[in-house]
Amino acid sequence: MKEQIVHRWIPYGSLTPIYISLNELKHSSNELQLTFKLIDRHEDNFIESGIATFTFIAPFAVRYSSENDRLDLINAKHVDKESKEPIPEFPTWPLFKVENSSLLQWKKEISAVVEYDEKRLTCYGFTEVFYLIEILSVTEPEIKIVKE
Amino acid sequence: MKKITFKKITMLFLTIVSISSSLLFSTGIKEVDAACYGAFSTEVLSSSDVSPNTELNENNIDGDVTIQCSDGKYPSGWVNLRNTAKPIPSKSIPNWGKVGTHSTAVSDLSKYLSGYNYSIINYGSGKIRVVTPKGDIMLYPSSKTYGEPTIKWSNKEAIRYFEV
Repeated sequence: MKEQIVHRWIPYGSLTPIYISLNELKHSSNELQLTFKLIDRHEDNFIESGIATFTFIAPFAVRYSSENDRLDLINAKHVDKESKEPIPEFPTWPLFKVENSSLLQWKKEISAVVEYDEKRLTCYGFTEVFYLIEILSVTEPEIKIVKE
Repeated sequence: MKKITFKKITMLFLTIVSISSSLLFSTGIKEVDAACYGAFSTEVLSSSDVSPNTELNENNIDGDVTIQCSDGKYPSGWVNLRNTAKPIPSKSIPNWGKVGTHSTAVSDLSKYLSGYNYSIINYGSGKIRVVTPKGDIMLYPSSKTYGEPTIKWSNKEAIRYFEV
């Protein structure tokens, strides 16, 4: 299996939280909606700065894990979208895309993905206070942000 | 006949009250109202949530009582450990943060959770499980979200350790 590479994802210019916290994960027939609380840190204080909602239309697959147990992604190479060079991830960035995703690889192993889809799919990642959520989707999510 | 019976019953009642009152005063029994408050919340824990510290304290031999606060749903020692940290806003799980390293976290586990006969499983690489009757407490050496060591109780609450 190819090495997984984590790419920092900044989907929205003003979206600059240090941490996110899952409020709700809602899955209807063809839509997956994740609502996160955005949290900034000022010295020892953690301040809620808004709410962000990500809506995926017809996502291909969803997986969540305990974020502490995902050593494969904790230890993966982190790359800045712009520079393509490895960047230090401290503090970590909560939104990312995974190149050579193990979720996509698993779907391939069980023949749940054909080559046509494989080329179109992107693995989006969210790491919040407890869960690390990976979503395979052909399209970028719609994003709504409400600042406090 | 009826009057005599009523007198006897009244006398018997007064005697019982008198004896029980004197016993109460002579033995020094007192009623104490105790409540424990979380350091960073207004949550009031009931008296049934308070568990005594069973660890022997040599400086505490003159009869003082140390009370450890623990909500009945929490493992003994967890609330005391948690109260050493500050809350982080979260709707998904209650989350606390404090300054420290993995060594601090190991030391905290030892300080606040020893003395309760919990089983400990060491997975190596700094990952430790403390098995309690009210759910396991896990120490993780790293975190994808925070990049720092974490102690989690039963996937319900977490304490994060930050170096700065």
